[in-house]
Amino acid sequence: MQTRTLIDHLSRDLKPVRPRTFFSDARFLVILFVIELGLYLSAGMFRPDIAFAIHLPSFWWKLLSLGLIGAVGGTATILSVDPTGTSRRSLRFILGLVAMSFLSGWFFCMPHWLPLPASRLSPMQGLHCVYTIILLSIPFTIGLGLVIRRGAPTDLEGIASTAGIAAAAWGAFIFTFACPIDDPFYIALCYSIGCGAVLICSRRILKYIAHW
Amino acid sequence: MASTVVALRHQRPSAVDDGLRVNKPASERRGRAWDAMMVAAQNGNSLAYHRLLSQVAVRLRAYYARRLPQAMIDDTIQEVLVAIHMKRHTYDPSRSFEVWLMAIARYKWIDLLRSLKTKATEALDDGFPIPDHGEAVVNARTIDQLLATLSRAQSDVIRLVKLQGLSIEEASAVTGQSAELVKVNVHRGIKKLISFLRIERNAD
Repeated sequence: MQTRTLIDHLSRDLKPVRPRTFFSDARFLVILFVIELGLYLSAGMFRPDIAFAIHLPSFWWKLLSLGLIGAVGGTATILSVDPTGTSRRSLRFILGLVAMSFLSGWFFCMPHWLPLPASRLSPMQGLHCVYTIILLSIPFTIGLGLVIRRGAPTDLEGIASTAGIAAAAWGAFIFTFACPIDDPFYIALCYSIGCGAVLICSRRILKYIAHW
Repeated sequence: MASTVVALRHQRPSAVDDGLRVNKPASERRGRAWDAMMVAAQNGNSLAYHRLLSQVAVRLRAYYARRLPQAMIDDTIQEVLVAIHMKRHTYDPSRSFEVWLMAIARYKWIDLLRSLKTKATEALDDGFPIPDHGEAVVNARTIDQLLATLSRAQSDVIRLVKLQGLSIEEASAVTGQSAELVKVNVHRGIKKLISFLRIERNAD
């Protein structure tokens, strides 16, 4: 087909489109987040001692750290669906945030960190924790996949990584309300494994979804 | 959160730097016209869209001329035009259309280069009959050397109008020179080439 014929074809019967905006994508993801959190909590998944837990620094540490990483990851993903956007700087920023989270956890929950015996890890509970984080991340991975598919990203690996981090952080954030363990050492290790697994899987899948 | 959004928005690469070197005020005028045409296209104005795509095709031809073999240029331009059509809702009217366009053009170019890596190639037999392009190559090299004696503005328009067959208006849109200036530069450039060739012949 000649270019001129293609142009004639494309411009014939042109339909108006509504431009994609940052806020329309953000609204969609926030609604998804609120629905999942609401469903999870209304299904009675609260930890039984939530009234006691809200007084623990480790509870607020994981809630704030994961919330911040999830929000920044989601924001970076939405910004990167624009063809002129790139995720490289955002990824460095998120990496810094993760490092800050570990450091702040060490600082605020220091009395609980030491000593570090292997018995504190509780392998069965750890496995359950990893499994639940992965399950809770799936809706966000799908939601972010839809946002990416609708956009036109040009940095595929970068956007797949930021989306994977955001989905993992949001899944872990919701799980925080149900997780009965407050040991910072356990949280740092098991949540990192869960989030890492989500990141690896999402990155592989979303890279293909992002291609256009 | 708002400050994070603003900070992250500043991480845009200047994709437009990959384009042709053009006359700045003219390119700014053209950029503003393209922005308006794309906004009209998003609202369903097919006439503006047709005009925009026609101009974009010329711009893309110049962009890919230095990056791809001749045989691949048409296909790639058409692929970018289809991509623009499919993703036209992602253009943000508050920003430059040209930057958006060149980001897509660059992405499609890199995507094509990546796909070439994975595509299998077949070796040709030694006895495969092919025409001899020796003369054409020598001619092309000679023309390049001759054009190098001219100013950038003159060699650009001669290349576009006389060698690639673009109209004066199309060459004007690509280079950012006015149509009158394109005509003058073509005329003066050819005159300079003729006098250069005469001197060379006399020297021989």
